[in-house]
Amino acid sequence: MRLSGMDGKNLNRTMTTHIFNSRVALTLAGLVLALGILGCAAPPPKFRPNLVQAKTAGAEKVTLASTPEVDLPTPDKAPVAGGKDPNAALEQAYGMKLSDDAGKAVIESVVADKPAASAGLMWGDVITSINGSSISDRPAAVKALLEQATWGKPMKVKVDRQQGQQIANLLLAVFGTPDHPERVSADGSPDPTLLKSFGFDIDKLQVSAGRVYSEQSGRQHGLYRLHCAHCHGISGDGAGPTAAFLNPYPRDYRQGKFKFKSTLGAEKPTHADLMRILTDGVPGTAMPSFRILPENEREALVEYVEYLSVRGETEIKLIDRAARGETIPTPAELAGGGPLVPDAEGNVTEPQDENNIVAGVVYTWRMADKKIVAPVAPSEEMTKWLAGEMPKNADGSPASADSPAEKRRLASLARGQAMFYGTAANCFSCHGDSQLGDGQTTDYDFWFQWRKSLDTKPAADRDKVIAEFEALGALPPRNIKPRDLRAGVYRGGRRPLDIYRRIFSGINGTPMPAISVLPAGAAPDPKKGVTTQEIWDLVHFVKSLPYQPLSQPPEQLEALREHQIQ
Amino acid sequence: MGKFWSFVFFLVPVLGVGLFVVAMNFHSLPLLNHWFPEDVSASGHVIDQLFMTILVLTGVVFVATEVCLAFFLWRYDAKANRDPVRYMHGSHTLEVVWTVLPAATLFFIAIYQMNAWADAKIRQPKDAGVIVEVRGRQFEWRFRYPGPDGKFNTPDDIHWDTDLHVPVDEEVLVHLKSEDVLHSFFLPNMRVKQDAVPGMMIPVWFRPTKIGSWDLVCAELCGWGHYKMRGRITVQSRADFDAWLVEIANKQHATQADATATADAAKPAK
Repeated sequence: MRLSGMDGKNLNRTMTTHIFNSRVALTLAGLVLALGILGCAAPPPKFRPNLVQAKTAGAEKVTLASTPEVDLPTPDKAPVAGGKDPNAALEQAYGMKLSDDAGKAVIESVVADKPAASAGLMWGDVITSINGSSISDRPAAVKALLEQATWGKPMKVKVDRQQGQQIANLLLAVFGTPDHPERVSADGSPDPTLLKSFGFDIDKLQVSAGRVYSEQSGRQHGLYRLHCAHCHGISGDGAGPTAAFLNPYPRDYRQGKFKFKSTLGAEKPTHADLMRILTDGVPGTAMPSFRILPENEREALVEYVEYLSVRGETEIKLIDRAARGETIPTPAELAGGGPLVPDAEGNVTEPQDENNIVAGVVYTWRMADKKIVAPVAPSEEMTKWLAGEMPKNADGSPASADSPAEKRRLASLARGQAMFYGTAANCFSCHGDSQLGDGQTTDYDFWFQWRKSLDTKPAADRDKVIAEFEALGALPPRNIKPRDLRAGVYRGGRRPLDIYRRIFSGINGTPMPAISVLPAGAAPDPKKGVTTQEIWDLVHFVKSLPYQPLSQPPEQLEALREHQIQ
Repeated sequence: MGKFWSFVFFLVPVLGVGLFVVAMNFHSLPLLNHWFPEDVSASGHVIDQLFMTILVLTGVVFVATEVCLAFFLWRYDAKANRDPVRYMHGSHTLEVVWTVLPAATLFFIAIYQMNAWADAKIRQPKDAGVIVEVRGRQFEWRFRYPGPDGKFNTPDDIHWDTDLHVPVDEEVLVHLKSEDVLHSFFLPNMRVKQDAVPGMMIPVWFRPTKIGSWDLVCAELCGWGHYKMRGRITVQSRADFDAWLVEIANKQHATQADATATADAAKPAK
């Protein structure tokens, strides 16, 4: 075929040029661009400060920055101390020291109950003006405070207070960054001794932290970014890029609260608990099982999660103190209180100084092994029921309902059911009359406590405040849903042991309370509480629910509940 | 330019055949492991044989077509060829040949693979050594064995995930389900691949012939975490498999804390 007005040669050339101009050029440009993007080191990730917590602690102090002006009292006469360094004189007169930070006059420390501290000045404040005249550097501040002071008359001192930045610096001084989990010493070299003194295994932290690569030997680095960060966030804030798609949301480690663990109430989980979650996953949520990761990699990740949690909880405690207007500790105070490496019996000394925030948090982690809930042993028969072994006749056929063994089993189920509807356990109020998790469903868990506090506000204000929180990085709030006990999905594990622990100590951070347990030797009183042995009846009942006909008619339930409550 | 392009087009069949020759013969070398993974199933060779038959059939057609293309480009290059254009009307014989030949080939393939298809998808084994329920969910594999009573949905079911254990040299019958979206249960070494469809139970079976561990992956894009949906199949001797089942059943029915737990934490009533 020939095209009119164009011979084959021209057509050929036009085609070639066209192809070269568009396709090839575009492909080449794309390749170059892609290689360029891959080649250039990605910008270091920003470790977003916990602004949600800051707003929760006090909305008006969201940035934790302020410029207060205080009346600084002066002594009746000039201080006698002096010499080359004016700090001695400043300390005598006002109880504070000044340092020079990039030319600025920065309060290095204040002494409690001395004029500076009682006037409300804090370490880290930058003095910007005294008695109305602006202060640009440390010599000017010294001059104003010591030479131009009218002794006996208070002076107006205005400071620039950047507590958000101070907190970031404090975290850096103790924890390094999540990418480089060790503090950097004055000469710029990494210094792992501090984290080691708190009992962290630096090798494990380093293999989990930072960018993803593998050594020639095959040792994988950057485990956290490879497996966890896209949901749990680079700083463990539970707000990684995929977090918003998940229900329930991924855990925010920074609150130091974990749901599915072997320890009592609000205690920290043990290392083994976190290993279990990582290995088995959390059924019914987006947390998958990491069973086929090598054990050393899972161990390293658990260590790193503990590190992120301690770092985050420290940050929250610092933010809360700053928001309350209290002095935040100096780096030395914050890092003090160690070492916290457990002794042969697994004990560590509890730090006493409340400024040793890191040690205080680490202490709760190191003591978790001492707070494990060990249930009473159930009867031999109960153990069999819980394992799904039904009473049988001698010939192996299922025992009939009027045989003694089956009667005992049914009696145990009935006791469990009575507890479910009883006042001591009060399970039905949330898990619903038919155990479908459709009882009380409007509550919030600990991670949305800021949302819960808005319930009393008018709806219009509520939406505005929610939008403000979301702008700071909070995920859209969701109610906490009680579990559907008939689904046969157990987030914290399906062992009878797990369900016993959920009932015995509740679920930390959620409205699921611990059951009231009668003290040993007390007279039985179903209204006040249950015995630990009776908890097994409740476990037995809960474990049997997925295999029961869905529900009884409502009127019978109503009658049953009234009967049990009276 | 015509000669150049005919050469470029001629490279396609040469390189195409070369690629397969290299892949087939040097697949043990690093970076070249793109041939079939090790076959450890009783019926995998049937699938491989089908693949080879169809590869040869399509390969011959592919090479012939590409060689023709290159030849025509070279022979009728506008720069070199001064022959006048020759128009020809359709050829009845030619049309019959190019209709009947592919039809016969397709018909042959359809008949030839029928038995393999029936074995893989229709003739469900009656003597399955183990039945296991496999559920795909975003983004992991969860398994359930029926427990001592041999029935699902009873309290003695044994639950597990990610690492599918099966006995060697026995038919494994999988009840494949999905908890959320489409997944695909893919055991490359067993030559088994089957979509998991929400709301359906699809039976899948295979007979492993070698003890060891191999990949279990999801072969259907199922969401953002599809790439993470990796598992493992562990083939064990019957004795090891039974011991393993008892071990995980005992763990699943545990009522007492692990050896590490010592504190007896009873607390007073509120």
